Amino acid sequence: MKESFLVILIGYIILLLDVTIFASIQFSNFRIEGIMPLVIWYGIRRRNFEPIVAVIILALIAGTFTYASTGIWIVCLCIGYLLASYIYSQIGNLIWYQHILLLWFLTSVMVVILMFGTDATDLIWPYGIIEAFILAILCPIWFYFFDFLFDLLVIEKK
Amino acid sequence: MKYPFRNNQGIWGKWSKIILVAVVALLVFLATGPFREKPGIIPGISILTEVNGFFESILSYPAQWFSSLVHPSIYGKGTPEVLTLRHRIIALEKELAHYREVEIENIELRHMLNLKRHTRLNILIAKVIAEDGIPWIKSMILNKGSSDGVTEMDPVLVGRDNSEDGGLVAGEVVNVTLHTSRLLLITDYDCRIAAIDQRSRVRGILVGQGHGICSLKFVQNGKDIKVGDVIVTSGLDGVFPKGFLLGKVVSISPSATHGLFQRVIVKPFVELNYINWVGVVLKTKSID
Repeated sequence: MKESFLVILIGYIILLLDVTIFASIQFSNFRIEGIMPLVIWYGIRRRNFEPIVAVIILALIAGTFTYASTGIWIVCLCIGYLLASYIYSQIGNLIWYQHILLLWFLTSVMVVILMFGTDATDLIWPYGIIEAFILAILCPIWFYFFDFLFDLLVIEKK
Repeated sequence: MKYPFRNNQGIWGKWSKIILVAVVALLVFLATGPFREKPGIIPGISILTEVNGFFESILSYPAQWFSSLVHPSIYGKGTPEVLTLRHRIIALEKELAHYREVEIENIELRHMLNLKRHTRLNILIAKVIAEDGIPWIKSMILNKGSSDGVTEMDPVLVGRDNSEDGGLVAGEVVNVTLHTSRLLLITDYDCRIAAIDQRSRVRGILVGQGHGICSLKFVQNGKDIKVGDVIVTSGLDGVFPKGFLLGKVVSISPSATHGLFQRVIVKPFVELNYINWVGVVLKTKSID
C-alpha cells in the first residue's frame, strides 16, 4: 500500500516536471518522459494485482495534465504495466541490449496507443518509434533512480 | 533492479484469466465510456487541475531558466587564472542570458500592449505556465481562469510590433478552471478554424498538423491559391473574429488520395512553441 502511494506521488511529481522543466528543453516533438518508465519499472518490480489500482489512479491524474482523453492514459499505462509484468515474469536473465530491445518494444506499444488515441497516427513512423527508443535508452537511468528512491523510502519486509 | 520473476504465480496464477478479462473490460469501458470526455468532466478532476496549475506556475520559473540556458559549457583544463576567467565568463553569460530573457519578455509584453491598444477587443494578457503532458499535443496552460473572465472557446492571440490590423491567432481556450485555462494551439490536430485566403477569398478549414504547420483543407482543385498567400480567419466558425492573421501558404500540391481537393500547407506567422505571453479575447467584461 505504501509503495502504491509512493508511486502515485512520484508519478505526480514527474508529471509536473514533464509539463514544465522537460517541456522547456523539448526538441521538436522529442521530450524526456518519466511516467512511462515509472509504470514499466513498477510492472517489472511487482507481480501481485494490487498495483494496477495505483496505475489507474496515476493514469487518471495524468489525464489532467493533457488535452488528450483521460481514458487513453488509462489504457496506455495499464497495458504498459500488464505487459511489463507479464513479459518479465516469463523470461530469465537478459543481456543489456536484449533488455533495451524489450523496453523499446514496451515503450513503442505505449507511444503507439497514445498516438492512436490522439489521432496522431501519421507520427508513428518515424517519430513515435524514435521517441520510444529514446525512452527505452533512458529507462535504465530512471530505473536506477526509482530503485534508489524506493529502497530508501520503503521498508521492505523480508 | 528487482527482476525478473521466473514463475507463473502472482497475478498470472490461479485467478489470472478472470482478473485479466475484468481488467480488459474495465479498460474498454473507460476508454469508450464516460471517461472518454475531456478533462474537467469527471468530478474532482477540475479540482486536481486547479492544484496542478498552482504547482505548474511555481515550476514555470525554473523552466524558463532552463530554456534560457542554451550556451555550451566552457569548463576545461587550464591554469588557475584561466579557470577563474572561465568561471567569470560563465557567470557573465548567465547574467546575459537572464537579461536576454527579460528583454524577450519585455518585447512580448509590448506586443501584447500594442494589440490591446489597437484592437477594440476586450483582451486579457495571460502567461503560459506549462505545456501538455504529451509532446505532440499542442496545448498550453495559462495562468488565467474563470475568475479572470476566461470562458471556453475564447480566441487567443499573440501580439506583434504592428498590431493595427489585429493580432496573430495562437489558438482557442478549451478548458477553464478557476485560476487556469488550457489553450489549444492552431498547430494541434484537434484545432479547426474557418479560414479564408486574403487575396483570392478562397475558403477552407485550417487544421493543425502537430509539428509546427497547418493545412488548409477543402480547397478544391483549380481554385486560385498561390504560395505566399496570407490566410486569415473568416469569422464563420463563430469563435474567431474575422480578419485575424493565421499564416502564410508555403506549399500547394494535388491531393495524393482524392482528386477533389488541393493539399495546401500553411506556416503560422509565429513559432507557437516558444510563446510566453498571449492575449485572451474575452467575451465577458475583463476584471483585469
